[in-house]
Amino acid sequence: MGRWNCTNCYQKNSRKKTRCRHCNTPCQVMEEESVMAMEMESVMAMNTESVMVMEADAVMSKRNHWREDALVDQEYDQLFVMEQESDEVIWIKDSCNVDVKTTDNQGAVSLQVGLQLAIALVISISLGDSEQGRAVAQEIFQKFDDEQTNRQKIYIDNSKDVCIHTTDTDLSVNIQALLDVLLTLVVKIDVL
Amino acid sequence: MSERQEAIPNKVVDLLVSEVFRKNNVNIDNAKSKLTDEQKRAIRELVDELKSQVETFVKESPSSKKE
Repeated sequence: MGRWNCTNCYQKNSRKKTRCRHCNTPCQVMEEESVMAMEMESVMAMNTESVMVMEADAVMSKRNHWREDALVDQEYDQLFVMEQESDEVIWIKDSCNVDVKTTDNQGAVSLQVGLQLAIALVISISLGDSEQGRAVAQEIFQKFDDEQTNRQKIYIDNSKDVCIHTTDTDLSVNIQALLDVLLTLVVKIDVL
Repeated sequence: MSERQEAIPNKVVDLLVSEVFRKNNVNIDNAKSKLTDEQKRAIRELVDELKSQVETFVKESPSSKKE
């Protein structure tokens, strides 16, 4: 969300950029209106609700503030954080002999961070700690820029001998995907 | 890769990585030659370790709580 593709080299660019970070072509894809909408969106993310009433020129000053020419912009760090939210409510009432099993995904999250670090490490070793290396790492993690929300409500009322198992499969697919990318990277640089 | 069910088809991941390299003008041969044997060994160990961890995780659901 909020990125634009360069018309010249198809490079994906952050919405904070007014020029392509690859070939420096000015952004032509976004209409002025949608640029404003994007800015509003990102500003809202920063300042929550109070920005809802922000004047257009205030938004413009924010835009000028962001007009810098770094090759790798701030989103590099941001993308390391995957948004995950798991809500679980288990309600057992007037029941007996109830068996509820839910997976604990804390381990999965740390595994995921381990994989992300490994990918960054492999890139940094093989390409060096250069702008190029950082750009590659950023782009690879960009593909994993996802939000996951799992909400579970289990309500057991007036029951007997109930057995419930739940597993957070989304997360394991995510981890497998990261592993696939790591393996592919490693194969490409002839290590495996 | 093993017989485990793939999260994303191999070709997709392969294309993704190649495409990112191409777009950023990465010379893979250059990168290959830069790596020392020691580094390659370290990476190999790291990848094997993570791979086995992921496989263990995916195969059996981890700790569960009982009520």
